[in-house]
Amino acid sequence: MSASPAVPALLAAGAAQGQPGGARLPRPSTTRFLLLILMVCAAAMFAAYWWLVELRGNWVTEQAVCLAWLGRGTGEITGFNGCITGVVLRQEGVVLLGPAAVLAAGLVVAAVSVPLLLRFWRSPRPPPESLAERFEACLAGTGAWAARTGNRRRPRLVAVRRGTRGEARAFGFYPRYWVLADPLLVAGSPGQLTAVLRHELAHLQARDVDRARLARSVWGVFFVLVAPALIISVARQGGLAWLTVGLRLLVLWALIHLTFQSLLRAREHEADLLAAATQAASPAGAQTEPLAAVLTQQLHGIRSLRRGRFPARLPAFARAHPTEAQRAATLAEPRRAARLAVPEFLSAGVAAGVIFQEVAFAVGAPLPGTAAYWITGAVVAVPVCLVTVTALWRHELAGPGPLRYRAAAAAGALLGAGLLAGSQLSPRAATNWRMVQLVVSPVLPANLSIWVAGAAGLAALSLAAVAGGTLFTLWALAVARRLGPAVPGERAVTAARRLATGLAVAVLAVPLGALFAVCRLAADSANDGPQGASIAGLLQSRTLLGGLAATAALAAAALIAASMIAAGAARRRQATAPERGRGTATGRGRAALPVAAGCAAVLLVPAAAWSAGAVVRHAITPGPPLTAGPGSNALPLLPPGIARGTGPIGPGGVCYAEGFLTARERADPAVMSLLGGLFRRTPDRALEAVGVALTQASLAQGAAAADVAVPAWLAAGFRCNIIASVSTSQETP
Amino acid sequence: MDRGDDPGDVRELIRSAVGQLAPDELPRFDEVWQAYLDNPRASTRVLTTGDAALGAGIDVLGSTLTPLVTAIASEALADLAREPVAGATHRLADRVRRLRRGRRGAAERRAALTGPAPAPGSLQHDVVQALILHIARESGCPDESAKAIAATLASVFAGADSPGPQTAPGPGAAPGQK
Repeated sequence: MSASPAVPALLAAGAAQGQPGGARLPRPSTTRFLLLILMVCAAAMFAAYWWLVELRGNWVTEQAVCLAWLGRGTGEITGFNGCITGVVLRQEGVVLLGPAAVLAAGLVVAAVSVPLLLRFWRSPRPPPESLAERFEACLAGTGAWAARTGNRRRPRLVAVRRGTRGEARAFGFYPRYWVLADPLLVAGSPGQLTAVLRHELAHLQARDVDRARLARSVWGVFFVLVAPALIISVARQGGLAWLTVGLRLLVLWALIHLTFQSLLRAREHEADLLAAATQAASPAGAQTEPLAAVLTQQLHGIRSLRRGRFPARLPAFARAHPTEAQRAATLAEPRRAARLAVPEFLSAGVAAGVIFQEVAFAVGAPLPGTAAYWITGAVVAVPVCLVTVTALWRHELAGPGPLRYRAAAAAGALLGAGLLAGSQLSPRAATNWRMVQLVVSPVLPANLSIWVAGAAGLAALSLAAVAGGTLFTLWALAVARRLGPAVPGERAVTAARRLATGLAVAVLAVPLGALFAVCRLAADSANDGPQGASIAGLLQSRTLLGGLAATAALAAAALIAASMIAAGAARRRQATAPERGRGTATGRGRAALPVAAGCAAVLLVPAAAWSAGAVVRHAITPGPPLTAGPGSNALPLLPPGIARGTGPIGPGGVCYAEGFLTARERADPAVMSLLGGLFRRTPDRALEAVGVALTQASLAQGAAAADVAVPAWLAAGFRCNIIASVSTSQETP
Repeated sequence: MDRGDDPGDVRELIRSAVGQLAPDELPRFDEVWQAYLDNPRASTRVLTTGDAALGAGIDVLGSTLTPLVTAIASEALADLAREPVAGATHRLADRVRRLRRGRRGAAERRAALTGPAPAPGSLQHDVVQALILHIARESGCPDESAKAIAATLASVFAGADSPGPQTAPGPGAAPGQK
């Protein structure tokens, strides 16, 4: 493919401010930075949950205060539920302090480390004269520095004694920057010196120095300080939870490290391309040797005094910087920098998987129920789409030729697999927390490990994740391929990409939320009894089926609209250049394909969910009967004293009974009547209001029944958790 | 190069060696010399301090000989100044062990470069060449380059027993080739 050296370079590298003709394509290093921060934030949320909620007994004292609402008379159930929700909201607010603290500490470390390191590295002597002169010449070649970078302070050249790791590096933190250089660089040829200095200045032009420093600092703060402390803290509670938490943090460390390395590699290519573009645009640039030529000489011409050392033997994905051969190849063909990185989809999936449940709990505090999962799906879909859809558009617009559908399918499959893997890498999935602490927040599941779902369940979840990721990626690629080339002008392309990203968020929200909701139900079955009925109920619920149908319709409409826009653009091109419009018939054929696929998707996607629900329902092993027999008002799950209404209802009974109740059974008047009567007979006055509400609900119809029953069931569950927590803490020596 | 008994100027001797090994670098010799004197690092740190791959990808220190030759020469001269030259042969092994043990002080290296050069008649060519070869190998450069550097520096310092003109690993040579 022919490549204009300047424009693809800018497209691939992302435009720096003030760069002529810059299309607003986020750079690969930007999306990788986002991934890294996401993963660290997810792990930090768990750390905050552990220290500030779990180790403080899940704030059971604050929750127990809410019990005073029950027995007050009018509005007691609403008041009790509101009180508990307030406690949980405060808990989730505190959990959000974790990422905030890690990011703030990372910022402080990044800012403070700059003067300290500069003091350590800096040579008391000025840089060699010829180096300083060449630096000023390169700086002048970049044009108006303030306009280009938005920073009035010009960078300064500083000679270093030791420690920079490279022969030169761009260094600093907003708003002060330096180019640190080994004075022995003057041994190099003029071409070498110019290439080195232009490259370092390009880092500053691209404004990636802060990002790299912040990423390094956040990474360091979490894994050097927070993660070891967390593992020690978990270990002190006993059991083997520290091992599973530690292993997950180790895997997360490796993933975040690899993401950091890929960020560094991406920014080096971007700096090379920007340096080459700046040199090409500079009047003085023509007089100096191009960076590509210097690199090529190094590869093929000049001597090398270095033996291959450890970093050189590392595989490409683990290296902090690209090899000279990769850099030369990218400079020769700038579109390589915009090529889709398939592993990036895996990283995006893992990051989203790690963070999903944490965000779901924060959202779930004020919004108990599945609505929290749909909202969380939309929230988490934003970074996922920013990474994946941007990568697809970048490849389509600036990459080395159209992306093969097979590669896109592989990337999508990795995205889905990453989502599932990430959900299991989350430290919260490390163990059954009820086995460690015996105190778990009412809105949080005690177990997130989907291994308890069995081989068949695991295979079904994996298949759904991989198939969903593949379908999503192929759809996003199809939209990008039609819409990208069809819209005229760079601003329109930017607007179209943003629109496509927004649509992708909307398309991903419900399926993503459904996947994680099912994962949670499947995992939590270890504590709360068989949840197959809940899963089947969820998969066959009108809300989910409607949401999936709407999602499929939206995806189809977007694809059809993109195809129509592409067809219109093709007609306009044909009108202006008839000899190029030979594919009209084929174009019509292509336009019909999205319509057919969209119609099929609207029917098939909800049908697949419903069928999966039916399969799950069919596979459910019947639990013990709720009643001792037809017409009986005895509950065999409960001790006889409780069932007869002569003993207080303790921590186990209601929770256990509720664990077996499906959503459908909770709406069953007979069940409500049965448990309502029991609650009213018990000596525990706090349950009387719940019993009365359930009895009333059993006599009402439709929505009126639900309005009364839902808060009553919620209050029963909250109360049960408090009693369980209090009795456990009293029993624990 | 035959200097007779004239000790000469160390700077000029090293310039001469660089002229033989990498004549294209001679125009920049003075600046490199001054930069090295400002921070006279050990020869082992010339190639390992800056990993070019971690910067702009332009391996300046890995592709130029002047900094490495200067560092190796300073280390060899500092070593020779510390011990009496007489009996150097049987003490070579001991010196090699100590070289491995730690870094020479920057002050010693600077003094070795700025002080008088050893009288050529006081040096045994083979011993000096063996010492420089060891230092060069320790610095991390390939064996062929180390041999060329050792032979050239030994000839400019020890003079009479020069093995003849040495071919530097010049432009176009692959790593490890002369």
